[in-house]
Amino acid sequence: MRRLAKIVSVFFLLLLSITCLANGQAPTHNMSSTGLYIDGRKHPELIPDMRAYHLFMYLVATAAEDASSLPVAKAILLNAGISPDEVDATLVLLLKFKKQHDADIAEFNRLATDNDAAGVPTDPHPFWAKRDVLVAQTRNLLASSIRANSILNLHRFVQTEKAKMRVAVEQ
Amino acid sequence: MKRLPLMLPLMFLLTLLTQRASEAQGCFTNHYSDYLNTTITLAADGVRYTGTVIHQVTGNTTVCQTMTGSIVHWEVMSNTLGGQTLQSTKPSHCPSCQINDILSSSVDRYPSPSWDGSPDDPVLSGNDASIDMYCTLGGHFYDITDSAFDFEIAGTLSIKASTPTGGPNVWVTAVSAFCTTETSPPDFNPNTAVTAYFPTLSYFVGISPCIRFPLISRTWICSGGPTLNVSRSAPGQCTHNP
Repeated sequence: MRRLAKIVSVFFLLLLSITCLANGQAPTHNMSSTGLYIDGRKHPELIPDMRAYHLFMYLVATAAEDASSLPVAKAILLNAGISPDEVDATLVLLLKFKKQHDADIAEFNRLATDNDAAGVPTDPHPFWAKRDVLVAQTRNLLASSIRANSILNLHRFVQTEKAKMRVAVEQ
Repeated sequence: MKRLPLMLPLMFLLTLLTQRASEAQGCFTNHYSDYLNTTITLAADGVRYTGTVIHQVTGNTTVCQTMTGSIVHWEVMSNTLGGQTLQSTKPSHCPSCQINDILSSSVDRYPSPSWDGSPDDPVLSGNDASIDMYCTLGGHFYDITDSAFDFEIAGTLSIKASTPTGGPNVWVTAVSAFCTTETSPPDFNPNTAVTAYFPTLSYFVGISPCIRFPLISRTWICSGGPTLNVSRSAPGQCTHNP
């Protein structure tokens, strides 16, 4: 029995020292619990189309806003399989999407700034829902504005681009 | 002495509970997504090609109720392309605010002979992008890079910082790192050493398995491990991986 008590004591002393040492770590700068991510390099199939289109459309629209990077925006759309005669029409819709999305961001940030100042948490879910609706509307507008073959090519391209994305799981 | 086997599990449980409580004090949950687009276009001279990397990050942070309006966040974005790194510090914003930031960098190169027209041409090899988020409350707290997770067994030499307390079977000694300049600060940085006997020497060696997830943070997370009281006269090498 004494032998068993000694074994138990040694075992828990080891556990205690491990835990105490872990607790005794110097404070780190990483002070947050970090959200979950879907890494598109490993699991592109897990990235929802809605999120991938959001990233793709916003990136292309941002590039199209600046004259110096407009050729890059056009090259991305051509690489995506949009017909050359449909590139300008596509950019018009993407710029409209970005303008509305930026307005939604500004509205959300006004609310978040006020809430942070008051020590009140801001629920991002309504903003995320509004963003997803806007993405869906823009996709519908694209589908009714350019040829079906271009839409199909674009969809295939966005699927391949998922491998270059990391998407936060929004809970 | 008979109660010791019962007391030790209880002490261990209390220690675990303390650790959980301190973790719960974290006040931020990140929801950031990113997208790295690489595009090749014909340069103005019609011979060279321009490789462009556009890195976009979008998302926000959910914060707890103890935040105040004086705290701000800001991000530093970096693109590496053609051996050159472009870094941009973005404007600060409220902790909960939504950000949509983009950093674009380009390089002109002659296409490699083996290029088949795809965006994977070697002229763009080695491209990389990262984002680091900073906060006035606590420094660096968010990082995206292209590395996988890392694992190591960290060894740290420590020096006694106070008289040991406790006993008769659990002695707790405050310690600080006793590493060489090259290995300071160590990856595993204990501030207490726990021994089952009264430590008669001034130095300790601690060994711990450590892991880090560069996609989240470059900080090593160490479980802690056994501590050995040792004789030293000069600082020793500790594990350190920047």
